[in-house]
Amino acid sequence: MENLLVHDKQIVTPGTILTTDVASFRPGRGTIREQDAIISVFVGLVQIRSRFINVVPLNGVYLPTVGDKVIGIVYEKTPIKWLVDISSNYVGVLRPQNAMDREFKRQGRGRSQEEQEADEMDQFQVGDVLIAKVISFSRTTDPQITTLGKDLGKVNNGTLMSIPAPKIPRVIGRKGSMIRTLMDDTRCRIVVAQNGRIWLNGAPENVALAKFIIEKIHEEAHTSGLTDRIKEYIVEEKSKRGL
Amino acid sequence: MGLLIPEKKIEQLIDENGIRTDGRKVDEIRNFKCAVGVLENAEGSAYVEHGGNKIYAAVYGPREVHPRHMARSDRGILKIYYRMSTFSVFERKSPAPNRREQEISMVLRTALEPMLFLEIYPNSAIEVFVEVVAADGGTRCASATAVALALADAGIPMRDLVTGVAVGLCNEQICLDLNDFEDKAGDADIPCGWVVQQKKIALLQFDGKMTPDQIMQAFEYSLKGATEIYAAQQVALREKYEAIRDIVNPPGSVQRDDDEDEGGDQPYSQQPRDEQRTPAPEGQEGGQPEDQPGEPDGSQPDDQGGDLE
Repeated sequence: MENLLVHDKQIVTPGTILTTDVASFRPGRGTIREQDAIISVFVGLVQIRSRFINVVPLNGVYLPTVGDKVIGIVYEKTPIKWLVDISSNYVGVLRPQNAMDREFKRQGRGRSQEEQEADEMDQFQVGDVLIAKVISFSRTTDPQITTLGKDLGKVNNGTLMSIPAPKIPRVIGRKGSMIRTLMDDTRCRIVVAQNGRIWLNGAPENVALAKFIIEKIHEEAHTSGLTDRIKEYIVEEKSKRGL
Repeated sequence: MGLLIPEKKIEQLIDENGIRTDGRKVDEIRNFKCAVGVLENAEGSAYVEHGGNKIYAAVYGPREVHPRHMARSDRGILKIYYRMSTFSVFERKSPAPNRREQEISMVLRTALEPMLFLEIYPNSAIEVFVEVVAADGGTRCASATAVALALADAGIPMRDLVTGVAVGLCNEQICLDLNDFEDKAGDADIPCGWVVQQKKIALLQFDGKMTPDQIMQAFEYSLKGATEIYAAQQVALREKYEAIRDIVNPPGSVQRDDDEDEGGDQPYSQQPRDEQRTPAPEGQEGGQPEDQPGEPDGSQPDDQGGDLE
């Protein structure tokens, strides 16, 4: 395309001028318009989508978004809520009304309101790992999370790993293709959360293989032909490890 | 008896051929090398070698502010901690923070703050730790270079990088990039931090005496030096990723169009909204925008047609 100073998938740095043709192009994510130019604000990959120029960052802290699945670690407990580390500069807040499941409520029948409330906060302790969902977040309120819902709640076993949040889409793949391949070929249960954390469970040697492959995806997230190459890596590693 | 180190007898800063004590011409910078992503624990990091200076910068954040009372509800804060290691200079430097370190920490903060979009990080702090492990004149300039690199490496959105280089007066001649000896023995020292592409100044201090003509020449020289260093900064930021890409996607090989690989919601980092208005007038980079976004960019505005499918 004429008038563009960069090409699709080029790696750029903050301040790089992407185009001076502000009539033909609009600034997308990761860019700003400065008078007669559209410039990148990140170290990232150029992405050209018809008239929009985006720059996808290659690193960054997680920004909570409503609807996201997140893996959090409880780090503080007050009488009325849990504070959860969701690997962001914002702290996740979990209130008992978003944490009480049916089992818990059933046990509570026949007891007084006070007795029930006293036990509400026993469900999770500091250090617990939770798979949760972000239900609200705005500039003035901390992100509220919930553990009610399918596949949400406390995890009692398994391993946790972390990669930068911008790389998570690569681990998921289009329509979940990459993560499905990973789970099938490594025989592990894997939960990938948007805040960069990944929970794995399975036989130790399978989990070790899965972690290795995920690190590979993390390193090569910005390259092409990744899905095929990952399939090759898995085959290679399995034979190296005798799996 | 202690270790005896013979001191070079230096007759003059610049000899009759215009060559300086370290063999450079008056408009040459010292050797410069840099790399990013050098510290695993930090969100972003950089290592800079500029002359004999060896400097690390580590970025943590954005994260919660401690102490809490320093948090601002309308924007994030940038905190810079500049320290020299006790062994960074010939005479052991006491580990206690001194006034010079406090001053440089503040100077670095005022230089880098306008490059950031702090309004997108309310109640958060970005903390940068600068450790000078070897000092050789011009540490604050080299530190500015390192801090800019580390912030970019951390994925924090920036308007551009800052590039530091000092310039000064020795024997009535403007000299670019003073070394330690010239810094101490010269007649003037001007540390500069440039925003090279825009030819704007982010950091500027002055110590000594110069005529207006000399000052103009000094700016010319320092911009020239900064331009070289800026190119090296950009290469270092890209290299971290290009090195891997060059191995797995060798140039010339045919690649399947891999957009299909991306999936799920694209959790872009916090980033500034598209600034529809033109930027603030010269000299006022990075003031608070009046039209504050109502929400952080988790919910994308409508003009984001560039979504990944």
